Amino acid sequence: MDYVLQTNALCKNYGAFKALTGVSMHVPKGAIYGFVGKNGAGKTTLIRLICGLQAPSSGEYTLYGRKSTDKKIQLSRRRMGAVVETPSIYLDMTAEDNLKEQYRVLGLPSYDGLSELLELVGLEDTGKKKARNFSLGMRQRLGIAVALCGDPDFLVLDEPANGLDPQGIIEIRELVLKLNREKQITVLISSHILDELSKFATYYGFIDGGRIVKEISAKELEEACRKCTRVEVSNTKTLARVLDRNKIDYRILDERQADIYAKLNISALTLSLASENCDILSVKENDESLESYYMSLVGGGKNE
Amino acid sequence: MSKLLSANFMRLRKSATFWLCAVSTMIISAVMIYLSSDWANKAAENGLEKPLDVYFFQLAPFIGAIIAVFISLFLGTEYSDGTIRNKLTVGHTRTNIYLSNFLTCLMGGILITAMWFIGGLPGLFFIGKFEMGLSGVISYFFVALGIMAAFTAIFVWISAVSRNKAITVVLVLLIWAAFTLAGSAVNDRLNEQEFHGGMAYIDGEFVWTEDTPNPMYLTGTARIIFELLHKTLPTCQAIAMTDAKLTTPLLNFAASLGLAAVITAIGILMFRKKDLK
Repeated sequence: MDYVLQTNALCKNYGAFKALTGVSMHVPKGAIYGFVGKNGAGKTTLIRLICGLQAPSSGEYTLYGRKSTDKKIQLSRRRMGAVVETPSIYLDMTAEDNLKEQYRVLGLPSYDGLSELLELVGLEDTGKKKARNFSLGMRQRLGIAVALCGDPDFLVLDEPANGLDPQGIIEIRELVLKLNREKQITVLISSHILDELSKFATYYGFIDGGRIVKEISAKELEEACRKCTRVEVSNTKTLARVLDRNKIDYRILDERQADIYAKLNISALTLSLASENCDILSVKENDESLESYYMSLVGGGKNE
Repeated sequence: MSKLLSANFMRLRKSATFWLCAVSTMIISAVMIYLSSDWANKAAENGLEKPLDVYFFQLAPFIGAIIAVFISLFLGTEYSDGTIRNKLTVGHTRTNIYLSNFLTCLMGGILITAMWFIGGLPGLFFIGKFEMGLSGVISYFFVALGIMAAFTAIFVWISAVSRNKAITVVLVLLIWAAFTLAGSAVNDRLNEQEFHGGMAYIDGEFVWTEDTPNPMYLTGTARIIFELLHKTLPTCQAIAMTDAKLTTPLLNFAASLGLAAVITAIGILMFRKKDLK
């Protein structure tokens, strides 16, 4: 598999505080990579490192096959665009002037494609309005437009939906999907809005406490979050015996709980367990969402 | 770096801050020369006629403040609005970004300095011509450019390492004020007379006192150091310009450029190591 970005044991320390510890992640080409983690997990820190805003304390990353320590890493950077935390726009300039500024930074010979870019992000009618008079959603979209100048094929978006209303969130999602499908742009997107991410991400990276907890494809996640029946019994060993006898797929959670991945005949199960002195205490249909999967990965205790 | 300069110059052209500083400088210079002309004409009527040289460079000590405001607001936007990230993300090096910012601010400073001189030109009609001649005026213009370049280097450095635009504005103005006070102090110490003496009013009558050594008079190594500072500190040069008393304009210009180069090198080193958000 081709990877646009790979990080290898990346670490970042701020004094005694370890923001990132041994982060190794892989962003496949053509993917929409959802980067998930709670506040302070290290998402923005990682994004700052790969965008060249900060240097890692140790470890390295490769961008389009070039190592971060390579003097020619700039050539790989030409192929990426990023919106880190807040949109990087000149508030005293219009949308058009902001894009023209970025065109010049990139050394593009003309302003071809500028109006199409404005249309793509829905800012074609802003005219002479200065960016300081834009709504948050408009500023966010302008930031993405600036990142898209020069036709990058890797786009990094750090919580682009922050502060947006539902309409704004939908617009960002539609834009990301369009860029990925029509222009084959690889997207790395960090977000707290887990269910929103689940609507379009093709890969996920879960980060907690500065470490990558898991990387998983959307397909694998779907299988992990598949529908099941959660039962609470007096003895899961007995339950396991009964389920094995009936060749039913299951997963033991603890001494009393288990998930059963099959359509259950509750009456038959109850009778089988009763014959072995095992009581069913509760039965619940479970449809694990990305949120619950994420909470099970990183633990929910701290958030209560 | 040419791409960065192209982008920066486009922003400079559109910058309200820059044009406000440039036009204000011209207006202030014109107003100062007009007010000076009134004084100059009255002085001439009393036999104290002085050439335009003495009045033309009154703005010199304040040019640093104007440059401070311009640079802190112009570059402050870059760092506080985060637009520097657009340059780093697409592969421009920190050295090139720093140098392009410095050169852009230098160009802005050159134009502001030119506006100062242009604003003072009506003095040729109100007061009279320069005693120092055209070559003298040109040499003073280059010294002014040197002062501006030294301050530009300092303020670009502060803007690059500071995180907050408001703090940057306050810091650069404080630094300018500190330089001005330092320059004034150096000037005053060097102007101390070697001896106290002459006529004194003691016990109701004027008496002639003997010359006694002035303890504030600098000698030896201290004097050498202060004289070196007088020739090299931008604000000392500015004070000397005000009185049209520059004696070594070439040395002054070279010293200012040297200071600008050293500060810029330090700034680049610090900026390269800075963690940006």
